[in-house]
Amino acid sequence: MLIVKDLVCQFEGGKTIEYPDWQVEKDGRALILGASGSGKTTLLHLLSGLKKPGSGSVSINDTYLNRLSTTRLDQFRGQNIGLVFQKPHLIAALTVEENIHLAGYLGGKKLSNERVSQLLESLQVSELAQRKIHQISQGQAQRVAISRAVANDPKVIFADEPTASLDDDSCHSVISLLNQQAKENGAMLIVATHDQRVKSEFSNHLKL
Amino acid sequence: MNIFSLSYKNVIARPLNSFLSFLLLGFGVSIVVLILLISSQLKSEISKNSKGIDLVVAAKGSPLQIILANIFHIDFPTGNISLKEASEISHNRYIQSAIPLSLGDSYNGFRIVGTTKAYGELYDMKVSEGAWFADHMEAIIGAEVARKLDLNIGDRITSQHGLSSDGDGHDDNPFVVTGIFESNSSVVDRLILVDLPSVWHVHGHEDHENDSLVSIAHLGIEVTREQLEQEEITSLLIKYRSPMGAVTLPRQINSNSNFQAASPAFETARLFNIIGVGVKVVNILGILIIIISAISVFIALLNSLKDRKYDIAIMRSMGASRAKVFLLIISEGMVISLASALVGLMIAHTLLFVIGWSIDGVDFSAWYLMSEEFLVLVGCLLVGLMASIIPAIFAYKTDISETLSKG
Repeated sequence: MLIVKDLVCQFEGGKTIEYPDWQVEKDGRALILGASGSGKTTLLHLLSGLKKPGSGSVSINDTYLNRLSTTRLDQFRGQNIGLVFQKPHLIAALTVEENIHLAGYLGGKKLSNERVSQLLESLQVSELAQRKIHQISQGQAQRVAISRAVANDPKVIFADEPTASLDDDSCHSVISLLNQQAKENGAMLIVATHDQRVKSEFSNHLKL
Repeated sequence: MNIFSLSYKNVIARPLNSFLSFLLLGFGVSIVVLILLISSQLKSEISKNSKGIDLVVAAKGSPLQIILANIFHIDFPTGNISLKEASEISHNRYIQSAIPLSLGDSYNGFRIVGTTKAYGELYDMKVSEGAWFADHMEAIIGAEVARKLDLNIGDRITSQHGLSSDGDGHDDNPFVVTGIFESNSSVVDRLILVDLPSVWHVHGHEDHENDSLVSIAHLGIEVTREQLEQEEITSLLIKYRSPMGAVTLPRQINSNSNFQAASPAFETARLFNIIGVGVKVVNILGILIIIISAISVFIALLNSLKDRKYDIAIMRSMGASRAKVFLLIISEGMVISLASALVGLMIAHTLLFVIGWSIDGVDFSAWYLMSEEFLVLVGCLLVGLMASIIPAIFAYKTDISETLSKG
């Protein structure tokens, strides 16, 4: 369960954003909606512990992120949170397969080869396992990025504008893949977007 | 997957970026190591060849020239000294042993040395084929002479006057090869040893077979009374009876006779002082290149960091701690410096091998590691560490949220 309480973000230069209190059930699906510049990405970073809040609290399954040290927070994120960004941003020096293994290594869980191939299988990119990143398409890379995000069995999957640069077909397939992966892994799914096409797929909305 | 393999793959993925650093560091290391190897092997070569010789007595001239000509056989002798006076000097109570040498002739570029068996014993020479010369006009030759000139027992060689191969021949007085030494990497490998009277004979001095022989026990030779009066030798290799000899003998000889006494230890130290300046300059050059390569590693890492800022933020978002990211960049610097140091070492040893193989008279053992080389290796890793610390701190301080929102 994710609980947001009295959350205020403070930017350099004194600008602040106050966020409304909000909560999402353990295996809930939620959408953060808002125009560009409304603070969606910032909220997502606050929720996933990439950024420290000015005041207020975020708790995920009873862990208060603001009470963790930087190193503990990194560890917590590696083990409990999967992140998908607008662009896939895979590590170019590694192959597809190695990118997934990297997630396991950095999150402190050694992934078996079976687990990696099963992940790639379920996202229909298993034939790309040995390819370098520059040898696969943007759409394929986004799927790899999703399998990377769910590799460590996260409790929460955050996706930041995952559909912004995609056409209608890809948009729907990415959303259904995220949904499907969240369900398979028993994880919460929170998507930040300004994409109206996604709206109908979620019931829990937070408008900024 | 671990930090080392990740950094290795990162370096490999940007070959051009790391290439310059790799090249510079490898080059610098090979210069420093090559100098190290050559000077240490030269030193051991010199000490090996001058072992057991405390003093060389020869005609007046440059002491360094005396050492080079009479011990290393690479310079020309300073002239001759009379056998009579030499034998008188060898009676000195500070002298334990004295070996006479007579130089001046050669065969196809290899020097012919008139001497006694004591000279071979000085270098622990072992006979591999045949035997020592037993009579006049017989010769025992070094292993390298036999190999290069393809000489066997029983072959005749004609000495030439002078030390270059175009000297006048003493055609009517050939030597017979009676023995070949085992190789032991000393200077004798490149020498042809004969007895003293043969050298005199070749130069047209008459033998008086029926004259009664006088034994000069200190020099280990027997000569006729006439030879003793008239003949000359080039030098005496002297071993002191006691350390007191070192104090008094050289001064005594230099001031009271026509002879010049030269100490191998002193002269080679002087030689190294002269060479040392050049060695230092080249060494400084090598270290300068290593420093430049450190700067190049630094720039390469910093540059690559600009492109990979997002990678680092992503890795942080996947749970990598700041320390891990820091170590990753440090280890990339180490991978570059370790690889170039190893390649530099290999180049240095290969070059040494090529030098030893292509230059006559130099016998380098190219394939062993000196302990100093590990120091160079450690030094290189330190260079890699220094060069990568600042980029690593940048990586450590990467603001994940800010970097990701700009992506």
